Amino acid sequence: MELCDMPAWKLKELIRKGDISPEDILDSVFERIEEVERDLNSYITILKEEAYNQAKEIKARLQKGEDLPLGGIPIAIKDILCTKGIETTCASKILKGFYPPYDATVVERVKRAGAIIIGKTNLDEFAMGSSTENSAFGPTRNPWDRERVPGGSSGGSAAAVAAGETILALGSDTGGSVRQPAAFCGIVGLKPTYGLVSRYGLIAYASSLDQIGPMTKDVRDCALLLQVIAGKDEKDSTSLKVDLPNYLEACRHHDLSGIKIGIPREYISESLDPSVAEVMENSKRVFEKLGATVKEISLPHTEYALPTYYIIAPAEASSNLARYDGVQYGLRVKGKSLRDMYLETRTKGFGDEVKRRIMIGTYVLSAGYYDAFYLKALKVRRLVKADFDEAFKEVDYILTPTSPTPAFKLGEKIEDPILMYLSDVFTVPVNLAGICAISINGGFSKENLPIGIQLIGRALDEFGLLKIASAFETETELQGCRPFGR
Amino acid sequence: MRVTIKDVKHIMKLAYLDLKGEEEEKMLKHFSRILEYFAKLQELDTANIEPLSHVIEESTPLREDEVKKGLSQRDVLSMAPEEEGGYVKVPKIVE
Repeated sequence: MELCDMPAWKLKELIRKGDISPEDILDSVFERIEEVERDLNSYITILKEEAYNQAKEIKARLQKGEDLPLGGIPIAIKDILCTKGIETTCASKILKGFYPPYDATVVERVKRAGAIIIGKTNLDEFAMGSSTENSAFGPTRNPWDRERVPGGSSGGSAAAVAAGETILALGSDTGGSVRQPAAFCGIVGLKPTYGLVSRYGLIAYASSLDQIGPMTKDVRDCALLLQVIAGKDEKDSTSLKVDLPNYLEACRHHDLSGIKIGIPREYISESLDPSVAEVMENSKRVFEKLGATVKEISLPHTEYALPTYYIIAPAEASSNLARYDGVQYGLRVKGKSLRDMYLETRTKGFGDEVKRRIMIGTYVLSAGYYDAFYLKALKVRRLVKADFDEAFKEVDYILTPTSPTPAFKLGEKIEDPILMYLSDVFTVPVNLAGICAISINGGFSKENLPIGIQLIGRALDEFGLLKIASAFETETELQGCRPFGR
Repeated sequence: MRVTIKDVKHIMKLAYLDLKGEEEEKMLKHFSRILEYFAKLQELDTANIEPLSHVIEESTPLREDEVKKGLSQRDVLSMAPEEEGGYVKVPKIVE
C-alpha cells in the first residue's frame, strides 16, 4: 500500500521509527494528486510549496523531541474555514480574493499539533448542497465512479481522503455535510455534539446547526483528529467547557456486551435503496455478533425533520449572508449608488442554490409568514429533539443508514431541489437535536459503491460512538478498501 | 399556499437580489415546490410546544470585560475591496 492510502496513526508510527520522513508522505500525496486531481477536482487551492516548507519546520520540531499528535501528517481544509493569508472562497464568486487575516481555531489547533496543510477543498457554495455540484469552481467527482457525485457539501474533503489526495481532512456539517459525503466516498466522518468544537473562523451558514468535524480513512484517525480540534475556545461563546476523554482509548475496547442499539422503524421505509437495506441487515448482525443487543425503536417525528431543517437553515442563512454586500470583503460590483452596488454584487456573486435559500429564508422570516413557517419549525424542532431524548432512555445508540441511496449521478438531482434535499433525510435530525453522529463504511453495492451507516449517540458521547464504530470496523475490515488501493 | 410572481419580486427586494426573465421564472417554480413541501408541518398540533431556537438553552455566557489584542486596523482593512484613509470606501450616499 502506498503512503498516501495509509491512515495517519500508521504513518506516525513509521515516522517515529525513522522509516519515513514527512517529505516522503508529501511526495506520495502529491504524486497521487498529479495522477487524479484533473478528473476529481477535489481542491480549490493546492499548497504544494508551502507544504514542503511546513514539513521542514515540523521535522525540526520533531527532532527537538516535541510531542506532536499530528506531526508531519498532511491535512486538507474545507474552503469554508478561514486560513491566514490563504484565499478562502466558500466555493463562491462573492468571496473571490478574500484572504483572511486570521486562522479558524481548528486550523490553528491542527497547525499547533504539527499537521501540514496541503490545500483547501471544494464544496457546495457556502456549504449549501448535497453533491458538491453547486461550486463556482466546478463539481468534484466521486473517486469510486467518476460519473457520480462525492456527496456534499464537504465533497472535496471526502473525495480527497478516499482517493489518497490527503491523509486527513476537515469538513463542516450543518445537516449532514460531513457524514453524507463520507458515506458516498467510503470514509469516516463525524459530526460532533453542538459546541464540542469551536466555530471561530468557520464561515457561517446556519449558526445554530453548524459544526466542524473530522473526515478520515478510519475510526482511529477520527479519534486522533477529534482530540486535537475539540474543547473550549474563548473566541466561540457557544463552545462547551468539558473535560475531554482520551478518544484514542475508545478504539481499544471491542466488547460491546451490555450495549443497546436501536434501529428506528421510520428510517427503514420502502424508499430505501435495496443495497442500503442489505447493508443495514448485515450491520445489525455484526453488532449482535460483537455482543450488542439490537432492537427496533421509534422516532415518530422523523418525516417532519427535513421540512423543519429547510425552514430553519435558510432562515439563519438569509441573515448570515446579509454581510455579503460588496462593502467589507470579497467581490464588489460597482453600481451608481450604494443600493445598486449591493444589488449587483449579490446578484452576480451568489449562485442559484444560495439565492434560493436566501429567498426562502427571507420569506419564512417576513411579516405575515413568520408564525406559520419559522415559529412552527422551531416548535417542531423541539419535538424532533424530544424523540431522541425518549429513544435514549431505551437504547444507548441509534443505527441508521447515512443516506437512502449510494452516490447518485452528476446532474441527476440538480434540477429538483426537493429530490436533492431528500438525500439528507437521515442526517438532518441529528443537527436539529444538537447531538453527535458518525458515518462509517458499512459495505458496498453491486456497482462497487460504498454505503455508509450512521451511528447516533447522546450529547457529548463521542467516546462511545468511536468505541462502537471502531469495534465494527475491526470486525468487518471495510475501512481499508480504497478506490485506488493496491 | 400559492406563491405568485409578485411575492417573488417582493422577497427579492427584501433580500437585495435582482433576478430577471428565465431566472425569475425558475425561482418561482422552485419556490412553490419548496413551500408545498413545508405544508407538511401543518399536520402537527404544536399549540402547547415551546419553540427551540438553540440546543444550548442556558443563559448568555459572560466574560470579564478586559482589553485584549485583536486584529489590527490594517489587517481588517486589508479585506475590503476599497479603502481610503483608514476607512472602507463606498459609493456616495448623500447627494
